[in-house]
Amino acid sequence: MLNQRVIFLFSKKDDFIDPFFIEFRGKKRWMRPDLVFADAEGDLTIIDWKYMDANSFISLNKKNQTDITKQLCYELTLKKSTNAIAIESQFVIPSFGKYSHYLDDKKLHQRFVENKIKVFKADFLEIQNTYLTHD
Amino acid sequence: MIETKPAAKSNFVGYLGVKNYPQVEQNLIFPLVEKFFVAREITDFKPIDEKAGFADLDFQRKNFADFFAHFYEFIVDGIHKKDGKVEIPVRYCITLDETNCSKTCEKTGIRYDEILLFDQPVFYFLFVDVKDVFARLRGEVFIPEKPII
Repeated sequence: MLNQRVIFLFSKKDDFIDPFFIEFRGKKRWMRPDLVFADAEGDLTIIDWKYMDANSFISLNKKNQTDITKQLCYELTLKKSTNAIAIESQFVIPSFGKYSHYLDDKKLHQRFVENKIKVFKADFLEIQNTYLTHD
Repeated sequence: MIETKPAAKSNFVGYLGVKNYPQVEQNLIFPLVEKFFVAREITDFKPIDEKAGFADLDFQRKNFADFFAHFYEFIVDGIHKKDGKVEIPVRYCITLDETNCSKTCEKTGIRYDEILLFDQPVFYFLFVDVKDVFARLRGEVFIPEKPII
């Protein structure tokens, strides 16, 4: 479940140098992944929230394609700026069912599978409760 | 002599039209591009879609607010994962405006500039002197300013 998966967030500024930028003649412009977190082993997961239906990932369209491109850009920059051995990419979509789960690869277009991007269907009520009761 | 190019994305790019472009391409552009990337040991490079060409000023937010959409669609669109590693083919844009190129390649003498994704070059401006274009049209031999070391 969500709470078990999030061990600590990379939100403490001191721990994390933001590598998500492009640079031209010393000037930077920033990319904005939604969330990066690390587990106890130091493996990283880059998460982007997608307010999309689970069926949106079966076929490839311009939006999907750009989302994959963005995600791989985040992955590359994070890989180059940290010592993390494993970096995983996930799109998280809201679920109004009883439990959270990953979408089966069969429900994803090949491009997601080839690029090892998982789609996690997260229990919206659980997220809402966690958010509302957070300090 | 200078015409409107409505399909161009950038306000700062100029295009040149000639009757026999393949002659210029084969004898000037391709050799220059290849020389540049061989010197950098880059084997996977492609030109940016012609209408998507842009200029140094487009990196500024006030000139191109949605530059990232352009970046994802036309520059790093070939990004993919191979054997668990993320790879990006390099894109380049030929420019006739030397202002776009603040650097000179030490090995080839070619004027250029680059956009980095974190520390990795993913895009190059490559300067082509319009005088060399006309020299090719006249059948003159293209001599790079500096040979490869």
